[in-house]
Parts: sequence; C-alpha cells; structure tokens
Amino acid sequence: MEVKYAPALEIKGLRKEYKDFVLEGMDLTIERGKIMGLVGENGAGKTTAMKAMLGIIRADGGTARFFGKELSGGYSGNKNDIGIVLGEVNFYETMTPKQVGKICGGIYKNWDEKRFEESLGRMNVAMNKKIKDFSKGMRIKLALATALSHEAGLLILDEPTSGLDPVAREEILEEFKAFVSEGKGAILLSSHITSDLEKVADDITFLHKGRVVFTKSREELGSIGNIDDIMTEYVRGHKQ
Amino acid sequence: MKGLILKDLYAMGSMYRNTLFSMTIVCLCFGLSLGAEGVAAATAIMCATMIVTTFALDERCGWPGFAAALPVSRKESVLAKYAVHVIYCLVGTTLGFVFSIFVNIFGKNKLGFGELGVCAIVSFGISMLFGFVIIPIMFRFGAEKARFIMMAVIALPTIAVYFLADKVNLGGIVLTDMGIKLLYAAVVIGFILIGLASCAISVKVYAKKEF
Repeated sequence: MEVKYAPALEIKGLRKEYKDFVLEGMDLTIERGKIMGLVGENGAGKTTAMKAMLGIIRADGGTARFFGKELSGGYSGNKNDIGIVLGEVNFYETMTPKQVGKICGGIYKNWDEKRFEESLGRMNVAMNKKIKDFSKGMRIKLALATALSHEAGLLILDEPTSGLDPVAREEILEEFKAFVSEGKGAILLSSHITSDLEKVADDITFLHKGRVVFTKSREELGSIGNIDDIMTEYVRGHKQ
Repeated sequence: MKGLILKDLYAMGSMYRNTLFSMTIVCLCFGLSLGAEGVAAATAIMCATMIVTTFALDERCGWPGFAAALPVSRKESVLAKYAVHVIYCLVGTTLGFVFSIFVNIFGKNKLGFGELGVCAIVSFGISMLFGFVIIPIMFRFGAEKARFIMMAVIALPTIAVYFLADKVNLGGIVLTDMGIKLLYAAVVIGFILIGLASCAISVKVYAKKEF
C-alpha cells in the first residue's frame, strides 16, 4: 500500500508478555479523519497497548505502522507525526508553558510556536504561569496544546479527560472534533468516560484481559446499547 | 537534542539560586580552611551533582516514558544528559575559579594565578569524572537508588587516590620532566577513554529500558 494512502495507524498482532498479563496479538486500524475509542476495565491493557505501539515498552511481537511506516531500529523520525498525551503533563512543574514551547521547538521538526500560543489562548492557559500552579484541567490542556502544535497527523491520548470537570471535558472534546474535521488527522483515545467516547468516537475497540473483544462503529454499538452496559455485561458473562 | 538540554536547564530553574547560595556559604565558612584549591574543587563538584537532581526531576514528572515517544532517539537522550553535565561542570569550574581568587586574597598560602588555573582544570576533570561514573548508574538504577551509590562513588576514589599517593611517596619515586609529561598524557587519554566508556555503557543501558 502506498504510504500516501496508508491508515494513520495500523497495528497487527501486537503482543506484550508480562508474568501476570499478556497483551494478545492486538489488531487495530485507524483511518485518517477518524477517532477510535479504546475502552476496557482497569488492567485490560489499554496503556500497555499504547506504550508498546509507541516503543515506550518493547513489544514481544507484531507491528505498528504509523502512516504506513514502522517505528523500528531506534528510528524516531516519524514520531514527528504523532502527538501524545499520557494522562498528565510530563514537564517538570516549575516550568512555564512558554518554556515548554521552547523545549518542544528543539524537539519537534514542525513545531509551530504561534499555533501553540493560540491553542493555549483559546483554552485560557497562561503562558508565564508555572505548571505547579495549574489545575488538573489546565495541565491536561497544556499537554493537549503541545500535542496539537507540531502538525501531528495522529494523536494518541491515554485518559486525557479523566479528572476534568464537564465544562473542561466538553472544550477538549471540541478540540478533538476540530482536529479530525478536515479528514487528515486521526485520534486513538483511551478513556473510562464512555459518555465522552459516545460523543466523539467513530469506532470503539473493547479490550478485555489483554485481548480485543470487538471493534465496532458507534452506530453499530448504538443499536445494541450504551458502551458501559455492553462492557459490564461482557465482563460479568466472562467471569461466570 | 537542543530541546532535551533546555528541558534540564529549565527544570532546575529555582534550584540555581539555592545552589549558588550554598556555594557562597561554603566559601564564607570553610574558604580559609579549605584553601583556594579546596574551594575550587568543592564548587565544581557541587555543580556536577546537579545532574543527579535532573534525573530525580525527570522521574517525578514521568519524563522518561514521555521522551521515549518523542522524535528523539534514546541515544540522543543519553548524550543530552552528558551535554548538560558538561555545562554544569563548566559553570561550576568558572564559579570555583572566581571563588578561589577571593579565598586566595585572604588566605595564608597564596597561590599564583597559574596555579589557580591548574586547580580549576583539575576541578573540572574531577567533576566530569564524577558524572562519567554516576550517569550510567542513574540510567541503570534511577535517581533514588543511585543517590546511595553516589556516596560510594565519591568516597571510594578519594580513598584510592590517598592510598596511591601515599604509596608513591613511600616508594620514593621521583618523576623526571619526561615522566611528568607522560603522566599528563596518560591522565588525558585515560580521561577521554573513561568518558567514552561511560557514554557507551549509558547508551546500552538506556536502550534496554522500559517505562
């Protein structure tokens, strides 16, 4: 397949084995312009899957292709196309967003300082305030602004809306919709707040004990019931 | 790599003032007893230990895992730490040199400007060596465990140097001019080799890390 038309993310047989947990041959494809929700109970393997596809942990098998290219052999070039939020802002709390912008300018090839400042302005995040003085919501907004300001084509977001009030969550969901609206960007969004996914996700992948149970479109799921009920029913049935 | 270096320099932001304050206190309280050379070395080493704090701050905000997903290779992450260490050592050596000039003015055993320069170079070497040893340990064990190992890293070479210096004196070895030049050359070559080995070990250790 030509890289130009390749999916934003294509995962095949991704596997990671720990003593007490196995992520079993995960398959997942996210087309450009789509938001994929990743759901599952605590310990289902959502974070492990995200870390394995990004090379934060070493996968024991399988491949992860971003826009048709694999991250391999220590090559990190195409990570410029990926924006990440791993649940929190990962810059030390004495820093200011202005400093974060300068740091990212030295890391991302396509860093857009103006866009970063605009994103922060739109989300009411002060440029010269220290991160330690930010609320949880402000910190997440800073992390998101960072992910959105280097022309990434794919956002990988691990629990970006947890701990946020409904207003902040709504604002962030609007950012996600805007990101994919032109049909170029795609998002992989892991969340426990299934009502958020019901609002924005095009497809939902349900992980249980390291295994993909299903990937269905929101419409398909909507005709069966809400995500919470489907998950709860499955987990209860699986225990019996 | 520029971004990684800036990250460490910014993260330490509020601690620079405290470190400078501590250095001034050390110089004021112990300057005369340590002598100009002691002050130069103490200041350089205090700055060199700042690299340990950068590792602790990285861990506190979950930076290593985040960095593994950024468009920087793990090798670049390692080399950036060494670059930051060089910066801290250079700043420490410069400050130490300035402090040692002041201590020299008031001290009893006056040293010449050239001797102070040599003190600064030796201090730079010692502080760099400290990093060459501690950085791979930091990458392997993390900042918390490595703090204890750091004590041993400082104590053991100091004891070894005293022991060896004593042996040289007891043996009555007198170095000729050529011998001194060869010794200098050996020290410089050894220093470079230790630095390269340290980088290579850190790169290897960090490549295997999972976060």
